[in-house]
Amino acid sequence: MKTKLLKTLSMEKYERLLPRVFPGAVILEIRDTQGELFWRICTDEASDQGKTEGADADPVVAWSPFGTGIERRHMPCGQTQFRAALMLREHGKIAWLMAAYDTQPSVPMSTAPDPLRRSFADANAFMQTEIELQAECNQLAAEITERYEELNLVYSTKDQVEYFEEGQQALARLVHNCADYLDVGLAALICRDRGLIIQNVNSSEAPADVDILLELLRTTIYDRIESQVGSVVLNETDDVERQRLMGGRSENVLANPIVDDHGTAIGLLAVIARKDAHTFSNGDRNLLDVMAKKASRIIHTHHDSLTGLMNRAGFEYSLVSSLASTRSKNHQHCLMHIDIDQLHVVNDLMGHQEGDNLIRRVAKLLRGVLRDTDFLARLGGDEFGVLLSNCDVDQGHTIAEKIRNFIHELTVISASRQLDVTASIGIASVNRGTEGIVGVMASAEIACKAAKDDGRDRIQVFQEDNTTLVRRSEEVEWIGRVQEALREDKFALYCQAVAPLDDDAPEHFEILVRMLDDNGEVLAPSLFLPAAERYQLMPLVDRWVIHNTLNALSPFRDAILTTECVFCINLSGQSFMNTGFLTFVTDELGRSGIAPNRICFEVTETAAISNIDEAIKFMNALKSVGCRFSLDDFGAGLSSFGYLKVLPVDYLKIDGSFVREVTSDTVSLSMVHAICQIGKTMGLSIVAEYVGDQETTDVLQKIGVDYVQGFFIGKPAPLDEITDRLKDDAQAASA
Amino acid sequence: MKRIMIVDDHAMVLRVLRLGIEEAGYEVESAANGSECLIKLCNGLPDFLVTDIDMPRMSGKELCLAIEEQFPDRSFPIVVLTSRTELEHRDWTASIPNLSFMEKPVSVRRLVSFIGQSLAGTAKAVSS
Repeated sequence: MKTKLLKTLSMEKYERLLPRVFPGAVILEIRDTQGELFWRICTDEASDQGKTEGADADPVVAWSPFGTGIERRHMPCGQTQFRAALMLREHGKIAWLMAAYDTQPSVPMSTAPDPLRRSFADANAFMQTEIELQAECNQLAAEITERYEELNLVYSTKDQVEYFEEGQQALARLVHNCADYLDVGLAALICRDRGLIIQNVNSSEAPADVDILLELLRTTIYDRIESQVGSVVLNETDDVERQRLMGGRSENVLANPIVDDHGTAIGLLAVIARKDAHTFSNGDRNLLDVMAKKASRIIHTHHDSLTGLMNRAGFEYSLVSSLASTRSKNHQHCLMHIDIDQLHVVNDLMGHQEGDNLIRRVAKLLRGVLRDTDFLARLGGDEFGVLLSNCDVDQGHTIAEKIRNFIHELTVISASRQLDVTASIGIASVNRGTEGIVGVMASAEIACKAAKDDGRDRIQVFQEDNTTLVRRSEEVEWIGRVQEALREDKFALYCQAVAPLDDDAPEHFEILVRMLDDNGEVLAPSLFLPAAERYQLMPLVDRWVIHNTLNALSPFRDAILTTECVFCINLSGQSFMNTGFLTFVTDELGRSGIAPNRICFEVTETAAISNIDEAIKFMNALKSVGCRFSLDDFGAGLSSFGYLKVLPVDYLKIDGSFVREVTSDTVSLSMVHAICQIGKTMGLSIVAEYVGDQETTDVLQKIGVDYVQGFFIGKPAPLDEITDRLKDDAQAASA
Repeated sequence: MKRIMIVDDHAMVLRVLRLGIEEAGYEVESAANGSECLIKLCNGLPDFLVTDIDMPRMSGKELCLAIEEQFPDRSFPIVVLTSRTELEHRDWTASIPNLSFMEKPVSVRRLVSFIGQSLAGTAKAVSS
């Protein structure tokens, strides 16, 4: 330290200055307090005489006091040497300054100590001032550097992340930066409820028994942080707080809370240093506080703010790592998809606040049931995901049963209303054979949906050999493709003729939707419609069809009016229930300029009956502007002629399964006959689909069917082929 | 002890760098501009060189080009300290091997860590 201070002197100027301060001196030298030579100059005279060794010449000759603060000795070579200590205010003696004189011919100092004392005092003052100023500058520079490093740390530690993985990396980096910057042995970020522990051990500074320290952070210190939501600083050895929180450990600790949006502590960020290595200052605490806030921001990105649980992205990430362990360690895990049954009823009857409370209660309950090593996430509204680590399906089923029972015990009570709570749980196994997380998450979800369909409040395990479930899982694959097709307009409109058996009646056309694959090949509707139906995408598909059909027909609206033809568009039952759908249809109709009575909507019997009130409302609204309605697939479902009285339809379309067999099966013939008769009595026009030959057509005509449709009548063709023909027909008619 | 040469015309910068680098256990020699540095290099090459760009008499660019010419077999790494506005310097340095950038104001901690990695042969990426 003292040599370091000495080194800050720039000795070039002293080479010129000191000989003037000590006139007549033949040697001037500075040695550190250990006697090591730091600097020396000799006069030419001394050099010539070979008396240049200064204090090295004969260390045996002792120094003796010569006035205040000065020592003197006579050397055998004839020199008289004087020395005085170079003193600093803060550090005391840091070196010796020595001046040697030839005693012959003149010894000015021996008889006149005052000028000598002045010389030493002047030299000391110059050097002292310089060293102290340099030290002060260095301290300032070090201080600035530290502050800049702090800023650099704060700036360079990222807290804006998008992907979960990026967030995990950012947190690891943040913890590393804390250890590195504060130069401590251990830094750790712990969020117990989120199963999050990130630690960084600085190998050169590592305290002993890191595991024990981490356990203290996880337990006593965590509890303290959680209860006081403020920092914990332990520097003093005899601190009562230390005894309470650290047992007998002597390390210094600084810990700051990680808080959620509501200011509740959800974890801690801590640094631990060996007693002798680092004492934590207020500056350290403030810095760690900033870092803890950054960590909070990153954590919030991937956690649900309502429950504090991981969100879907976080869960998927955990699942990816677990999936890896099924391969590397042959582990088997169990994935659960939990859905609170009919949460919307709680929301509707008791308000969303009660609904949110219920979600929080379920989250808490799940946390209590699960082990630390399991992963729990809120996947969406009323859905939770659980990954049971190292757990086979049987064990998983037992745990699911426990969860189902616990949830069953919950009730929601508000304003004299009481609702029981239940949940449906789907289980899928995560094992070596699991190909990807998308598939296994879909499997658990499908099993959960199946549990719901079976009556709720039950558990369903996804099994590969369960064909119903497998079909659903295939459908899941189609969801993404349907969504993509909607986004990228990868649908095409086709059209099939529905021919009148009475030559004077106008022609009908049914609009059909097809999906195009990446190569532009047409995909059959049976591939994608079931998936779209099951996963509630039909309103979107219907909107696409209506918008594009009306767009395509709009330029031919006059021809349509002239030929009086009718275009039939299929509607899913989901669309009746879809908010804004009715407005959408009327807006689209208005925009297209097509006469509404040229448009007929086909609704399946099943769809109309399952939402009968909505269906009637919807039909009446569109009928009031002139649109027509057709009841599709009649006879296939739980047909009841009773419904025909309430549903305001214009056409009855007999299900193809009867029509196909009308010439070969008398039962089918009787059915078609009966439907036709009753329909006619009610004033409806009757349509028969799946007409495959002339014989069938003849039979149907005899029975009194009004319209026939099928490959024999006309195959589906792209819509523009029909519109082109329409234009020609209209021109011919007007000519 | 490894020797590090630092070149900057600002005494304050030199002081800050010197303190940090010496603290890390290196011996530091400094020069206030390129030409002073070149003269000092003739007395012996350092193990690492850190230089600013904008300096009077001889800039960092001229210094690096002169080093390339005078010491074609140089083995010591060079770090050029640039401000953000000096992105164009990336062009002329592209042809000079074993040269990295660091943005000013420089984090001494990062510089020291980079020097350490370079001297240990484990430096990976050019610092931003």
